[in-house]
Amino acid sequence: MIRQHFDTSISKWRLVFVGLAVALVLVFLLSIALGSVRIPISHTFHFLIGQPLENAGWQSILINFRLPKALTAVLVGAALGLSGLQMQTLFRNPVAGPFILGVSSGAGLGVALVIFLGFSFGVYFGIPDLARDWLLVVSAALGSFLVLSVVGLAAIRIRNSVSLLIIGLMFGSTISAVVSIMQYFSQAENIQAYVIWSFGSLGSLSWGELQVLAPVVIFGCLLSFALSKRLNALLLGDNYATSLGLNLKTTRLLIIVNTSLLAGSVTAFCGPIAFVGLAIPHLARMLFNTSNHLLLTPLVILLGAVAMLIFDIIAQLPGSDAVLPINAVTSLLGAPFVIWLVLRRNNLHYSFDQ
Amino acid sequence: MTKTLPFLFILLIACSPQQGEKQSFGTSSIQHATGFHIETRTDGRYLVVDKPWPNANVTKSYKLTKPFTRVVCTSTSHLPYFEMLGKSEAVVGFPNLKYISSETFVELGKIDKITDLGADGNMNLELLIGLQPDAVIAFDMGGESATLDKIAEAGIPVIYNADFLESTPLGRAEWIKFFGALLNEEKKADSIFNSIQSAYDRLTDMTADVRKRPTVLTGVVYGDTWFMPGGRNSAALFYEHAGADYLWADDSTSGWLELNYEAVFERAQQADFWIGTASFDSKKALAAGDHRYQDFAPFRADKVYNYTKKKGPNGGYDYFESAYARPDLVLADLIKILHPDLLPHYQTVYYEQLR
Repeated sequence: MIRQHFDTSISKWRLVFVGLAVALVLVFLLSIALGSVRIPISHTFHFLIGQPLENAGWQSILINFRLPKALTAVLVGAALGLSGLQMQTLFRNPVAGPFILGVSSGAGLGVALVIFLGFSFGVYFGIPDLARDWLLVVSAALGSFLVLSVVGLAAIRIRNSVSLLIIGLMFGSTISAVVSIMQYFSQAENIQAYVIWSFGSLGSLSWGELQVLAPVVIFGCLLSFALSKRLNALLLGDNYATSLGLNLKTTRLLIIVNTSLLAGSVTAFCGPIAFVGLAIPHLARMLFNTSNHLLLTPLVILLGAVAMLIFDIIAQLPGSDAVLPINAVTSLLGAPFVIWLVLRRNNLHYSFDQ
Repeated sequence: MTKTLPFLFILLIACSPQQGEKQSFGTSSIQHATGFHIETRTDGRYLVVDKPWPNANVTKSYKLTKPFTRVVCTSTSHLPYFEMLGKSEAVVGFPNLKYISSETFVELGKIDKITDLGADGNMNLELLIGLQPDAVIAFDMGGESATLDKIAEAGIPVIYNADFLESTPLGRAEWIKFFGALLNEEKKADSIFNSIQSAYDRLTDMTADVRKRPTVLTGVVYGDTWFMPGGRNSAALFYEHAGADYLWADDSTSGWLELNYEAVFERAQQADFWIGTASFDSKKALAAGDHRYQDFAPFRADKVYNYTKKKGPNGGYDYFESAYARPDLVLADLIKILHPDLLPHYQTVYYEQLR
């Protein structure tokens, strides 16, 4: 009987994951095939199977614009979704997410420091590309880590989730204030570099930058898988988790490091991207009705990647020369979703209530 | 500005032989600008700003009584007009002196003839009111600025300048007459504008029958968006008058297009020239900003130019301050870039080749 139930469950999840993987591949191909420039589908196909195109411009658009953008979208969706999922579990708070807890602001502070200091010492463009990319990732991750640690420390003292959110928000606005004071005291060209960054962008990563972002995100994903059991234990409450032999301090620290890496590296390269980190984990829990992190981790990776690719396709307004800012699209579709979540409040605490 | 003056006179003298005609204009007739005019009513003369902010449906009239001697400006692009009219000392306050490039005004700031009113957007109102200026010359994007309302409430006249809404280079430069009217220097403003206009027209005539019109790309990408001047934007007119084929000339908007990077790449990868690259002042910086810039033909052919040649003492680009008042210089620069044989001895003022 139990055995039978287990089997149907396994086959159900197998179906879900295969379905999501197929969806991911389809949306990925769609994202490469669609764009402002109309490239016939047959040419895209030729490109994908490795044949060189006659039209060198199209070849260049596919290889230098669409392919890195689609890969970035996958990495961003997965990374932000995962960091949101883990923050929500860590803080046992359904509205936690990288954007709301001030983690994106922390990453922004790191980026701003690199840009402004780099420019004021006149070395910014002198640093080799690869070194600068790593510098950005490390400083953004450190900025995120700083914010998360403080919010995490506060979380140990304050159990009230609303207070925690307020602390996160306050942190975010304090850091924004620090950044705007830095902007005030720096020269026009530094500000421009920072403003360009703050627009948020999926399409600006070079292959070189992807070679930095991809390993960091993949490492974060693997660490997330490794942390899944601990996250499950955390859901049961601190006392229960300790009684299961979990070292709370190490677990918290690992989660904070992992989310800082994931959210920080993405924010360093793509700018602050709103709502994805908050919304994707809820989507995963609601659609598949589970709070098991062994399942949620791969679900969030796949769902996040699919959603980000769809957001990007919408932002590109295929067929027109115009483009929407990616943040406008994620917020436009993300905000109503959060409102809907709040309206369905009864259902919101399901995996955090003890 | 002081550095360019000798050169500018050479250009003007060289380019404007019909000096006699101009003298016959005694009054301010506005030829190119569409945003303001001067009218005589029964009770006196008025400076009327027809469109004080974008999509405004009101006009603003200012009675011209005694000339202003103490004003606060809010945009660096207002300053050159004061300098050209010989009224630099009429500026007594400015938000954030750091943004000023003109040496004259930087010096005036150093000897405290101009009060720094703090970051724009949050002008220090107490300092401003303490200055008791005759007027604040402001610009507004929507007609509901709380700061400007407060200033007006304190009894200081707020005069709206909307030169940035003009759609032609000469139309924007003609706003010198707006300042001429306020500072009682109308004749001088007229004659300066006429010189600029005839220099500009001469330059335009030079390129009217060039054999090859090189294609031009402009701007850089911000995030995922490439902001490109529309086909009726004054930037597009500059390229047309300079004898270029602006790649988005077929567009019919006067504002800015927000384009997808790949769409820009598709149309402009084989452009002959790339002119105007925001704050990137070297090819190295450009390539570090986005690696794909290197795939554009003008990048590889060393045909990238930017308005970064002239820097103010605080590091700002003078182009954004003084170029709007001098479309003849901008046009001459562009012609020098696009058709160097037409102006063999000319040295560019604002533009430099990126290396």
